[in-house]
Amino acid sequence: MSDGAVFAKKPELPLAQLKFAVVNGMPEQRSEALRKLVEGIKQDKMTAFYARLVAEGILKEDKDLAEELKTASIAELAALDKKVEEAKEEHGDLEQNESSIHRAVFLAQIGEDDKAHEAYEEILQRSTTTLNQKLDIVFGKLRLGLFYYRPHIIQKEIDRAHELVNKGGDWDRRNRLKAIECIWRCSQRQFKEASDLFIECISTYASPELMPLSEFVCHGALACAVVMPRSEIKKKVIDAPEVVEVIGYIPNVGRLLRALYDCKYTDYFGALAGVETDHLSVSRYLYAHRRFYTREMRIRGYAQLLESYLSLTIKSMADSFGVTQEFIDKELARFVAAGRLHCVIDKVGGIVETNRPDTKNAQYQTTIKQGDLLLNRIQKLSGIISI
Amino acid sequence: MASQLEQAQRVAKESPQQAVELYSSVLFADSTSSVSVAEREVALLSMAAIFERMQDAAALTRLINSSQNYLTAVSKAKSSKLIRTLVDRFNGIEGGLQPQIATCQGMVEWAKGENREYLRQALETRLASLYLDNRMYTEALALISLLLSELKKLDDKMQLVEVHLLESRVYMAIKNLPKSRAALTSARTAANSIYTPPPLQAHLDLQSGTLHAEEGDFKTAYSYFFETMEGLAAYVVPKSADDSAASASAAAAAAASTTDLASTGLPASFEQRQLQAFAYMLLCKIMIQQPDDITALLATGKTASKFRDHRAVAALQAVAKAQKQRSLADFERVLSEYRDELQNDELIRNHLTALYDTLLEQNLVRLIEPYSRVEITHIAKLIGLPIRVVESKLSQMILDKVFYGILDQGKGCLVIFPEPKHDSTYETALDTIKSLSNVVESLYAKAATL
Repeated sequence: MSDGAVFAKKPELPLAQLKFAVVNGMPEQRSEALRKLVEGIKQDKMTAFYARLVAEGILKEDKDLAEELKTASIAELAALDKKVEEAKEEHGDLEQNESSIHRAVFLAQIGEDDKAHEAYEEILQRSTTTLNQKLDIVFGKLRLGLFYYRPHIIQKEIDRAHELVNKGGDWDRRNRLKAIECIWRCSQRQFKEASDLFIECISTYASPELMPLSEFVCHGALACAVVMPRSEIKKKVIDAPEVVEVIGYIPNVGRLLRALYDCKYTDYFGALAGVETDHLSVSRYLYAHRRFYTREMRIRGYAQLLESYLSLTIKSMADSFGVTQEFIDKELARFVAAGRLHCVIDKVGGIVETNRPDTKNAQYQTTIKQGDLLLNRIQKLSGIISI
Repeated sequence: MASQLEQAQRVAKESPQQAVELYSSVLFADSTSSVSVAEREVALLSMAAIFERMQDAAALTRLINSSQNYLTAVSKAKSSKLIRTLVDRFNGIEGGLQPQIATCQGMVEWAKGENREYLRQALETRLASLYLDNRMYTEALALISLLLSELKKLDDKMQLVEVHLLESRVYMAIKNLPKSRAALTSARTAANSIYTPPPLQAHLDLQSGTLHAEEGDFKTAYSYFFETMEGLAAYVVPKSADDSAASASAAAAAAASTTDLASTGLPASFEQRQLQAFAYMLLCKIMIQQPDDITALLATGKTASKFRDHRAVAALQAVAKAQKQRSLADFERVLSEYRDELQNDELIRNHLTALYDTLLEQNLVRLIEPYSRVEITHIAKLIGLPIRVVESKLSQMILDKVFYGILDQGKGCLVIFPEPKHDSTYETALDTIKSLSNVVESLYAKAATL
């Protein structure tokens, strides 16, 4: 549906990313981001967004610009309202819905958060909207939610979209939903689900309005790096054609994945640092999780190295990672105490010894506990029944 | 003006700057002067050749951009050939890929403005192959799909074959083998309906061979490479000397015919391509573990005997010998000795690395089989490789679950244990308990209703 393609683009998500860059980015990038942000606002006549930015102190108040935006947006809104009226009187349901959708899209475009949501809801509740139109509206709401980052709205809309898609959405919309959900899960730290979704939808990624392919691959690949077992990473991520295609633009991610697979740990740490500066601190979806991410990846590296050893010298471990022995000592101490790594440090002999967690013991303990609970309940039951 | 040209040709070797000045005066002379079109052409090509020799990419870009006026005056066919030759002059310049792409894009715009469809399509094909060389795969694919839809409408089978071939190469570079194979099949279908010049046919065969080699089917790949080599046998011409300005026009003609194929990005010299095909044939023989056939190959076959003394062939022969003796130390030595030949070609490099890895793994597994506990230094001595390499390879194999063992660096040994049997007693016990508690739940519910 051409309409779907038209309105699925507003509000422009890159602008939200620019706003993030202005607030959290490197100083040298800030002025550039600020300039692009103001340009984008002017182009889309985003009155409400501008007002909000001024209120948050990100932009300085420019009376002329504000006036200009206001007049432009009021004029266009009036024109759209008139079209809606016309459609109601003269044309049928399809045209009515289309014109209402256009109006709601414009409200979203200028950044009027609540009003746009109301307008969308109103159209959704109408019985004359087709399933595809409903889906597109839900996508529109998702975009608005992502723009201002309102977790409740996003979660609700994703659930609603799932229902609609199961009722009979076409493949294009299904894939689009998968892509949006993948990014959403990444931002919610649910990397396992995100990685599953990524593998499913990477070959059919066609949502340029969400983010360009290279960024999407970047987010997805990072999600996979933290949760996928080593054997799968090679097949599903490193060799996936789409990943190979864009890896030239995101070299650090490629280095990270390959270093993890090839067990080249010095490279691994270097790439991890690169990933943190280039991708984690820059993306507004992953910014909040950057410390979590780097910690998890470090643990992954250590665990992988320790897996094939019964014991190894602290010196060789430090050498393979390219860091000092004190650093290794501190890190291992942290993680062992937290129970994330299964090893013991023998500082006198300068050796790290691994101790496999004994699954048999754990299973024995669980059996005893569960059996106990069960016996208690049967006793209670027998008490009740014999009465 | 003719005297100026001759003068310039004479000083070209010693003082290129002077020659350049003389040539530019010929090229950019007023239309009123008696400079013929042919003379201007000679000037233009010679200047381009000089810039290539001087490795001056910027000057070459300037030359091409400023010669647009001249090119409009020349006939369409000639100007197409000239432009293609000029763009190819960048090939000899180090690091000239970026300016080459920029110039190519500029010329495409110009061709669009001049409504020269055929030239534009040829230039866009060349641009796409430049994108491939520069690893800009997304741009290459986008450009190729545009070209394909246009060419299909025009039904220009020849160009279609070339562009499909290019598409197949791009997909192979991003490791999308199914799509690569599909593109190659389309190329073949288009090629079957027209007369395909043998060089193009050879290129098709080379691509099929490479594709089969990637998929691991080395026998079929070998036959394709053989076809390539034999097909080119009739076409080997001596390398054209395009430096001397005297034969500049002859060179332009010869270069233009080979530019068609150079636009698909292979060494223009057929002999080089034959050598490449022959090297791949040897590689296939090595990969299917029949190194003895190589000596037989080199003895018979008149095309094969031509290459007997080439370094690349000697390198692959040495690899085959190392493989026959299953000696990894020899393998490594050959790899470092013939580094240039073996590392430069991507196909050979990938397959030989894979072969080395498999050999190493097989050898290691064979060596540790009789032991339950063995010192790493002992294994390293047996296999003839440094300890560090052996240890890292062993740890990777343990992670890959090739065998079940564990490294004990404290004592410097490797412990191997038989495959741990998965005891499902506890799991079944836990399952049973869970089902029992479900039963108790339902009994509760029933009891409540009583």
